Amino acid sequence: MNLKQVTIGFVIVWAFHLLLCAGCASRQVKVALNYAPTGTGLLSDLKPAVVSLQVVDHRPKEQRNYIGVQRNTMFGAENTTVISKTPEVQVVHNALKVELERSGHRVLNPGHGHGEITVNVGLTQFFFDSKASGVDIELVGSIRADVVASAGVGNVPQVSFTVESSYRDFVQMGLSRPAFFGVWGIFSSATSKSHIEKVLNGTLVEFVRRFCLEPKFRKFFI
Amino acid sequence: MAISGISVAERGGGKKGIVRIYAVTILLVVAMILSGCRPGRSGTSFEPSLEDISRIKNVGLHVKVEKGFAVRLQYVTNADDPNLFENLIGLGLIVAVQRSRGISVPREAVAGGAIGGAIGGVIGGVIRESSPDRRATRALKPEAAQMNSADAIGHAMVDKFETAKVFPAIELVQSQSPAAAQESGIDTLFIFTVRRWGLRPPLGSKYDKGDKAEAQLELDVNLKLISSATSKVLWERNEFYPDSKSYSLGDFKSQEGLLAGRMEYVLQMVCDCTANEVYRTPQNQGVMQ
Repeated sequence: MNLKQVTIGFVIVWAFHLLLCAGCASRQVKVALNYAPTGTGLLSDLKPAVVSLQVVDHRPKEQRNYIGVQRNTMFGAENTTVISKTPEVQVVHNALKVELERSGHRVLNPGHGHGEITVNVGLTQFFFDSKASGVDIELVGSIRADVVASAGVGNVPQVSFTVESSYRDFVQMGLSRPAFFGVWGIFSSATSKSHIEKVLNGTLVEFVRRFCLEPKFRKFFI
Repeated sequence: MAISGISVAERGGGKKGIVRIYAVTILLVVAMILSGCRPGRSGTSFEPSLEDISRIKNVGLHVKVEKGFAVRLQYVTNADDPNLFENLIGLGLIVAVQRSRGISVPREAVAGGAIGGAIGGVIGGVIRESSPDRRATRALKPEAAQMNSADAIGHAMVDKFETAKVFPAIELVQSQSPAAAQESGIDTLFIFTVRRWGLRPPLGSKYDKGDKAEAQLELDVNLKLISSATSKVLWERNEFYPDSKSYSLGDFKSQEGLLAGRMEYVLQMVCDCTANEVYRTPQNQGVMQ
């Protein structure tokens, strides 16, 4: 193979790669979010109760269109936006419902009667981001909500509290995407979808944990 | 291994030797990449047994700081990378391991490795030392000094745990040995490891150079409760706490007490979450409200 052939081969690979990148820039990454609890229910040590649960979206408008950015792993340039296959409000509602039900409590959806405990969750943040640093990529998820809870409905005292959860993980650049396939891979490889899902699902687990261990919420079950 | 590979090639191993050098080099690069120094993922490593937790009476708090204050706005680990000294120690270890196995390591290979390590260390060091993150870290060191030690963080945490009545009794201890704790009448050791703390970019923000860069305080900790009598881990969690508020880097430099104040706020978050984690036995639920 002579120098001319090598040069032509190199140009073809680059052109193909640029085509791929151009395609990537215009699409979104859709992630599947599911609450996957482990161990015993966090509220299983409390007296069983019927809970009316409602989750509403209080996030700023600009944060409702997408839940994060997928970045280039080497220099951190934005690659494409991340969106959830299921609306985030529903994801949080399902997660809390699963945790309450596996702990022996019954959950009523909005419009299906009144429970012994009424919980209104106002979602204020649901976001993912990543930060590059040479061979390391830091992945961070964050979920925040303002919660108002009361024993029943009507003219009863309410308690309010904020639940904040963050989850951080690190992956190696080469493990997140096949950066070792060449120099072009290192310069343009992006955080993989599976890592984004893992971090957001981890954040969800942390959110439910913080929510269920909040004393202001737990005291309604005593 | 790499050095023995070189020696095979030099001894006339031919194509096999060259293949071996490539294989070893790739393995070394992969090993270097995989051995990156960074905190692990968040979450619970050991779930508490409510029975064990409810028996806690006297707690000895031992604080360790793995990585002190640093600004990590441009790159995540700029302030934490190994330096020239560590590179050369690594090379020395490789040579020592090879010699202990009876494998001869040519002087040329050692010299080449040392020069390579030194050049890499110097280039890396110059890049890191001239980075905006390192300059900002140096500029904020006086502001961070108030909270940048195991002692300062330990005293702040003891105050917070006592105020919130998280444990019946808590005191700072210098040793992390369960046996030493038991001798002092402490039934549970609380090892509070600050894996790193400093300033990071808020989620979704774009990096601006200089004092305009947006920053928020972060604290990454490993929390572990150990029984002094049995050395059994009762509870362990890795927690990542970003501050809920963000400021410009310039604010942290110009507003006296802002950095220490935000650290106090984040330590309070750690205290509250720890309280909720460990203080949830039915008989204690009325206390934390």
